[in-house]
Amino acid sequence: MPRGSRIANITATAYYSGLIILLLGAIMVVPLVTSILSGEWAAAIDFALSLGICESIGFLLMFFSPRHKKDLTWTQGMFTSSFSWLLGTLVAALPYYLSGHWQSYLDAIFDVMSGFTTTGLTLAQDLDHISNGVNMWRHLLTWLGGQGMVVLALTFFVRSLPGAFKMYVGEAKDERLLPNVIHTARAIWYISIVYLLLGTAVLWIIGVSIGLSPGRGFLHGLWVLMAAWSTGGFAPQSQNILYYHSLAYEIATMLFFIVGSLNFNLHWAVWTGNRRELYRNLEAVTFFITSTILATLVLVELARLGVYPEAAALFRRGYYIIISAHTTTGFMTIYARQFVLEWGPLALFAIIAAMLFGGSASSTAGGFKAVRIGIALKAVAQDVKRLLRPEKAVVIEKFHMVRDIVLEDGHVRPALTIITLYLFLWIVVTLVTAAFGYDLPSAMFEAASVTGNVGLSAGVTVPTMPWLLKVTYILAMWLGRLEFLSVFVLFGYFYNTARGR
Amino acid sequence: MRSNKKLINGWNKLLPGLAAELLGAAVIIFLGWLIALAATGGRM
Repeated sequence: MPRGSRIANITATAYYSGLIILLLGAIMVVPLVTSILSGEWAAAIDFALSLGICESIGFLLMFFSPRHKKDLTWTQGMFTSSFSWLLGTLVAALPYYLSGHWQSYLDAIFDVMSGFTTTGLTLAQDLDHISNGVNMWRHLLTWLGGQGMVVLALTFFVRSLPGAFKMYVGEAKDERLLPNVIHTARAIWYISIVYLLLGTAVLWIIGVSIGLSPGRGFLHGLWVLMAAWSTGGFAPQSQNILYYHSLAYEIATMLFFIVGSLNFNLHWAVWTGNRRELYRNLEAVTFFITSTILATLVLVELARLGVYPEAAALFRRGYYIIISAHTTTGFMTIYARQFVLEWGPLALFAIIAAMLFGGSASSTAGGFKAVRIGIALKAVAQDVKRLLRPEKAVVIEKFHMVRDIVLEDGHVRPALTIITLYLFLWIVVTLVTAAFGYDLPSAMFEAASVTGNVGLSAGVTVPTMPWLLKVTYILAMWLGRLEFLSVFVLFGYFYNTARGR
Repeated sequence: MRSNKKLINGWNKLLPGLAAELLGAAVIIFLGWLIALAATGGRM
């Protein structure tokens, strides 16, 4: 690569990453104000300090890189997305580390990556006594991460940005709701904010009705909704959703994380009047079919084993968990070790499959994504039809995603590539986990949870786990969320630079 | 941005859209209840 082009890549990345870090710092005002209003002065100082450091880094990056006016190349767009995620994770971990609830900076980074990628696994210690400010930051990061940091920057910070679409694609969102990518980013936030208001109000009312004080009920409602909508899985209490012991709370969270796992394109279609799209859309149909099959498997097996002999318990534990897994939310209504100790291999396997399948593309969810499973199945159907019909017959397969689309190899290849990469990553993470001495079912379960950005845990993810495993999980969450390609561009760039190309 | 203006001004479209999505999610939840009932042989 010529020296001039390398410098252009670095300055463009530095400029836009600086912009995103500046914005991230500005968002720290929210937990700072929460801490001040809650009288948590130590937390307020932590946030003020972190905010100052964040703004300084962002300002320096922008100050030393000339304003980038040209259109970004694909490399620069992808590079900026993956790099700003990495840098954003490093600086967003500051308040965690300063709070003293994370035993090392690595643990703080783990939790930020878990939040940004909407995974929901945590290494926090004494979670039940974390300040309101830090809790606000945890859930805010999940909520922002669900929509995407680049989407956030495009929405609020930038009026017109050259190469915006390439950064947007780098964040694993490749569909535009509106012709302009910045308008699309704003539409995504519009949908999310409407659900934030509605969901917080619903969970607040339920929270107060089950005995939480109005103030606490509001904060819990807001935080749980942020985690549900972004299919994140964080909760303010260590017992997660089990803490509330409320069927109403469980049903409300389920409603919001199912809706949260839908494609923003689908939301936009339905909100603008095309309601038939809900039962015609390939992703919605695929999700409905796979979740029904897997849920039936899990519930029948759990009933057969006598784990939950009554319908209410089976629904509140078994069904809640399978939908939580399939939407890649990770909310739990049981304790971690119950998966391996009580659920039996068939139910465990179904949960692992659900976690890997995941929600919709261009949503807050992780995993393969329903659209890729749908396309892969359509491709299989097309091949079978070709074999059954005369040799000269032309077999056309269509799928519906807002409009009817003819299935082509151009759809099938990327879908199979990403599914293969996810499976490969899952196998690697399983082997690494097992190599540290964990039993294979736990390793497979935790690896699926990390790779699919889910957040359910079989008990492997604890502060005392080996540091190398923490690093492996951080990388896997990052790769899974950005869907590999932009991270590969980043690695490839460093590799080429090291070889002097 | 005509479509955005249309959305902001058009609560008559927004509310049915929201309701349709939540209803769709409710159908999935209800289906889960039915599967749980069937799996346990109706034991409450």
